[in-house]
Amino acid sequence: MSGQKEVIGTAMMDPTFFDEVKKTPGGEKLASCIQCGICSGSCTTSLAAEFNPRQVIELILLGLGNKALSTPSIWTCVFCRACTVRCPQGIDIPELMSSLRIMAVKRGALPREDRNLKFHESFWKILRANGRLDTFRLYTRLAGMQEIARSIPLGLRLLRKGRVAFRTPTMVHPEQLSSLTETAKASEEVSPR
Amino acid sequence: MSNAERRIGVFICHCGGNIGNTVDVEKVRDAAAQFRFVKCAETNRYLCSSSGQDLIRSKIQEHGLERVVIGSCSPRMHLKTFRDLCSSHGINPYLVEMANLREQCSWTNLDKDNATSKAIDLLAGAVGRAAYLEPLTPTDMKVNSNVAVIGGGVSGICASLELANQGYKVFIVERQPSIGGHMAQLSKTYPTLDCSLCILSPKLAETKGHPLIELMTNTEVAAIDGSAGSYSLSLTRRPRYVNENKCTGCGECAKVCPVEVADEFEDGTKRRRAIYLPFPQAVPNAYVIDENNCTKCWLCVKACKHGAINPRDQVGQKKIEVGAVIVATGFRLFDPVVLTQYSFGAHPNVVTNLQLERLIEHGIYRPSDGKTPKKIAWVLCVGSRDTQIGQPYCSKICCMAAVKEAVLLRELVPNLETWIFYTDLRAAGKGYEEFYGRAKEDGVKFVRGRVAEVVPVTGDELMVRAEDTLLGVQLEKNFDLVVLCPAILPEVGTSELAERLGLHIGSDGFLLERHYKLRPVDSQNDGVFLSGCCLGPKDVRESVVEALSTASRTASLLGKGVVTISPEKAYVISDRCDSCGECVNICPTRAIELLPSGATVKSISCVGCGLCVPVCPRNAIDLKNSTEPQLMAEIEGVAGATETRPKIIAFTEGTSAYTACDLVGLARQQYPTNVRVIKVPSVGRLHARHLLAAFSEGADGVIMIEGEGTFLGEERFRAHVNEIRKVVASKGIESLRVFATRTTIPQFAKLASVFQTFTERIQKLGPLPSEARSKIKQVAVAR
Repeated sequence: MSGQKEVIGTAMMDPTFFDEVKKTPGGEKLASCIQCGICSGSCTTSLAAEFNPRQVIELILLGLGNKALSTPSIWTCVFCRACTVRCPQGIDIPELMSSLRIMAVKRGALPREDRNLKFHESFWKILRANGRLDTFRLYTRLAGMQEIARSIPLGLRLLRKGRVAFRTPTMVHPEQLSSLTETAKASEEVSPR
Repeated sequence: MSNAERRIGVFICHCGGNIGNTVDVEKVRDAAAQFRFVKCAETNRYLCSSSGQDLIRSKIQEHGLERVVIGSCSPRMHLKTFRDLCSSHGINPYLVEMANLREQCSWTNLDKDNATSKAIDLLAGAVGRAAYLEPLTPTDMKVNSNVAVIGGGVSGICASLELANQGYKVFIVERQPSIGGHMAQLSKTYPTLDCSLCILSPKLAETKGHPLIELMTNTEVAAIDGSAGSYSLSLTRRPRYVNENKCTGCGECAKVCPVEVADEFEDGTKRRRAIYLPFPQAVPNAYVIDENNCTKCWLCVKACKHGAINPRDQVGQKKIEVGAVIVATGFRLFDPVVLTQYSFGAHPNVVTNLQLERLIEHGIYRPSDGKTPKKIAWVLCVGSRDTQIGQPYCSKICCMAAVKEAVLLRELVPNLETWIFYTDLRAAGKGYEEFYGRAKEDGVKFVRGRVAEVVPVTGDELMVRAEDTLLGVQLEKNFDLVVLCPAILPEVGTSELAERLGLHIGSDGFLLERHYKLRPVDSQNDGVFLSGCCLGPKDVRESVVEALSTASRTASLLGKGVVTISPEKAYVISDRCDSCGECVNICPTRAIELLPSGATVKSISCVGCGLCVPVCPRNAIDLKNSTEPQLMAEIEGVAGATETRPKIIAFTEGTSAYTACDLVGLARQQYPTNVRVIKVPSVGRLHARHLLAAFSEGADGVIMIEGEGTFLGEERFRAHVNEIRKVVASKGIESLRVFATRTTIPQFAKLASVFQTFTERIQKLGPLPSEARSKIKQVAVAR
């Protein structure tokens, strides 16, 4: 975060944004948020995020749609659900993050080269092709050459322990998975792309 | 009833020009003279004036009138005037009927022709109803001037003393072995830092010594019967095993008692014997045996030099007769053990704020090793403002209690770190914000963020993790004492007591006041008043304010010596009743009992709402002064007298909704003359047959308006209205012709627009076709 702070002005506020998010899964009880911070205090990944869950909700409440959708923070949620279990208002925050991700992708709020976007795209591409996650391919698609070179020692250790493999894992009936994703896609509930 | 008994005189008031300028009063008089049973019809410039009253008087004598109908202002204004007048001339006051020609007619429009037709309809309804009125007599009941106060906490004590000092005999019924309640457990009170027991114990002593107060400890209310002015309470006393008068409080018995259990007064921070004194200042200051834990070894009997212990003490039953009851049953704390992330019960150094109050009294130590704590954290909103696991409401007292405890402890322990983790710090109250300011000056740290978790780190320490929401960063800090501030809940047994007393419980579990703003300490039952935390979370000062209020309310009920009971009550036509119990189930005040002879109305408890009437499948129950024939005749009159198209009948609940309709007129808000109001005790009094009668007699649309806060709650209102709609629709009447709404008195302005919009709707639909009318009529005749 830079030392410069900006003024949040009328032009940045989209009065319809809150209503829009409210209609998505996880958005139902947004208006009841009392900004107590128990979600952020419980969040296992908010240290890695620009905005913690409470702040993401505040962005939505204020109608700061562009900010809420372009922040990498909505991609850091790992769905551990610690926030939701404790939230006194019963807001389903992981579900909300998921909805925000879908909106972000639909609106093109993320740059093409966004690492989170690339991660999710690769994740789904691999999953659709094989039916199972291929950690090795996922990593090589995301990481740059230098990064890969740096992690060779760790990679070798993991290889020895069988934690990663060059061989792509497969499933018995991949066609079942693709019919599943096709159905989901049709109902527009599928994860981004 | 013979026709001679129905000799009706009609008197129509010009009210100066208030009515006369808009309504052609003479034309209305001519029409009224033609109505059935009408022997004379007169007009006057001011009927309420002495010349107007003279006119009525002379006509009563001249025509031997039996009933009087007045067309004038709202009955809310002058019904009493005319009832008193007629009553002094031998006419039963309940044989006087009024048509509201001012607030609900002349003041709401400027169109003379239409207003005149409307006035004729309203008068026709009043005359129709008058023909079926029955003489009724309110009963005066002598009241019992004793008062029962349930609960001997600070609220119950203050109410009792206030009443006893006014000369009323008071019984205090306390479940615990001593009075004093939660206040006795507190260290000091905010914001003045008065020592809690120092200000309470003189009150306890005064209560004990007051000649008009009878203290009944270890006692609970088993049953209640009767009504305002005459309640009978059945009490159950658990055995104390110690004679209160003989016990000197020397404590020799406790020394020999082999049983040791957690001490309730110390909230588990200390232990006591099975025979114990609740606390040093307990009133009565006598030991008591805890029968759940006593092993009956009776070593104490030998140890007692005064022969005060009686092993053969038994459960006692007692009945007391009182005129009024004050419920002051107080609160308990939410058990934080269910919020596992706070380690309550898992680590000794996590305590509740009530336990902390006791620790403070004992010179503050941390439970794990008895050493003085160095760093204390308060966790606010534990189970409060939580719609998921705890309570949705704010418990109100915790913020200030935590601030007070922090300030106190900083005085007691040098260099103590005090951190308060709050969601929103609520310090609204006289001197509270200033006290909060003082705490900050004193060095108490405030962190805005609800604590996520309290994690044990070492033997004595715990790590508190929370977001500091003002910085947006996660904060982790170690403490050696963590104080949870649990939500305030109604005391155990509140709902059972409410069941027994017929009180209402709100969605928050606390008892419900009659009116939130204006009758804040009245319950739904006349003569039962509510005080203190049984109504909701509050601090000592507010509990005392309510105690004094209930005392005043009680005195104004009992002080007159008699209560007047309205005769407008439900009654059962016993040969039709088959004891199905529908009326018993719907009665909001439990005024109907099923006896072997059939349903029976306890007229004292009946509030006359009429909800029971439409649910009876055999038409076996009816309501005095709003009987079926009366209501039907009024509908027939209003719907059928003039050929106004479209004609809309608005059945209006008689208290708040009707008042709101009057206020529309008072504000001179205009609405179409098509709308005619018929007053009913409640929309719940209506049956689909009344709407069908309205349609068959000439109505083209029907509105039903219920006041909010009546005995017909919102849910029941919706269900009832939907049921009526269904039946009406099944008779071939478009559902758009029926509309229902609820209103409060201050919302009266909305009624004008409701009337406007609905009239436009009916105008679009057009008049109800005459085939539809005759079809309903045939069905009605067949019934």
